[in-house]
Amino acid sequence: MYITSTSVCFRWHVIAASLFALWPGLMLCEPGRGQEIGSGAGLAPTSALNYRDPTQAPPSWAQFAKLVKYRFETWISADESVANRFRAYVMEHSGKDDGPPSTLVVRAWLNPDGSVERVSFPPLKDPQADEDLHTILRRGNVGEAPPPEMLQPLNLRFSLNLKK
Amino acid sequence: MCVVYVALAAPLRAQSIVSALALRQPAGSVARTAGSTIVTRMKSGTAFFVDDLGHMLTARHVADNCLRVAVAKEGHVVAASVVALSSELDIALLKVPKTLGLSAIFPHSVTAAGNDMMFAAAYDTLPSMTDHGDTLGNATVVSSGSEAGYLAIESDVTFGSSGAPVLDGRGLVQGVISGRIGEVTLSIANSATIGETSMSRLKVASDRVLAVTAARAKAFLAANGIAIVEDDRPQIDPSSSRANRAASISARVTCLQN
Repeated sequence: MYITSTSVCFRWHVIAASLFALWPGLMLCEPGRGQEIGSGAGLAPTSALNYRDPTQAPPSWAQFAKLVKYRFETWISADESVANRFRAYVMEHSGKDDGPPSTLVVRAWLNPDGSVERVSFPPLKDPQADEDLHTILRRGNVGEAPPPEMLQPLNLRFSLNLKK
Repeated sequence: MCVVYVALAAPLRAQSIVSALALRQPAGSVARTAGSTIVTRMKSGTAFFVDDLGHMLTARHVADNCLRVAVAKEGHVVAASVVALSSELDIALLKVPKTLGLSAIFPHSVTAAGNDMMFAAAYDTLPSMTDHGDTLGNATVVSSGSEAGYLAIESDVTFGSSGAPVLDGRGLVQGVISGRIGEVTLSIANSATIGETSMSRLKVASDRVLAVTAARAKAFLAANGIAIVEDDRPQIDPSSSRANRAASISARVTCLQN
């Protein structure tokens, strides 16, 4: 996404979303990172035994993860007050003690109609930014229904790249 | 019976898209003709993404002879460049800076067969279909690939659907909409007058539409160095709306002409 008014390139993206997206029972990253994700989110720790090979995931799961990634990118780059405020926080505080982490794992639960039921991620150090990100990621419909057999939540690992 | 081939690109008024392009288009991002150019006409169709790099397929008759090309999706308008026009088939390759949504998945080996249910629609008609969320199909395969690289389907697609993907039940692209096989003139017996029988001629729009086959579309993309994803496995749930997948991969394409 490009913020032309400030000449700052801000990129919010999922790292290889189709490969690194995580579902319960689906092994897509090393076990240690999976445990870190579970504890960081305040959820039950996961273990290697709970995961499967990502190549065995149905294609429809990967397609749906890509779609969710695209929607999250679109919503966070939208030219409206909440998204603008969140991006400003990231730009101003990135790399500082009170700034956002370089990577963030977002857990997302989606309703059968494609709307985002809820999201969960390790709390940001700025309460307003934390609230804003929750608002942004829950604000719309991804456009397709999740595959009915797909395990939820989707676990999407994002990185924040700030290019000036 | 008179049969006329009708392309499904829709003529439009030029002003709104020209204004949008003037605001959003990066300098030098699209091919332009030399000297001053005045846009007086425009036509539109549908295009769909074929990779994650912003490449799109559409119908050649939508993208040829354009001063500029614009792609619009969900309120965003971006300039596009024409990468290639097929010399044999009604198909063209476009490029925009970034894929908006999902890219299409092509079948690896499965092909459409007669009576297979398909889905195809102009991008602009998709919102009303996705609101309902239950569109499983709106077209039927009549013949598959026997017409020089074209798939014949029965469909009620309208103007603006040129270049739209033809999706099968797995969500795989089985064709690219080209045009309708025009009007059919029927002779109908008129018995309204007692004792007399006259014949009326009625022009009926054919519901037969030609689409470039997936095999030929894949060959065209390969010839232009485009890497696509091929998979015979279902990409959507069998009970999911095809209109929603079409909306995820499609966009409106507008060609500005002088």
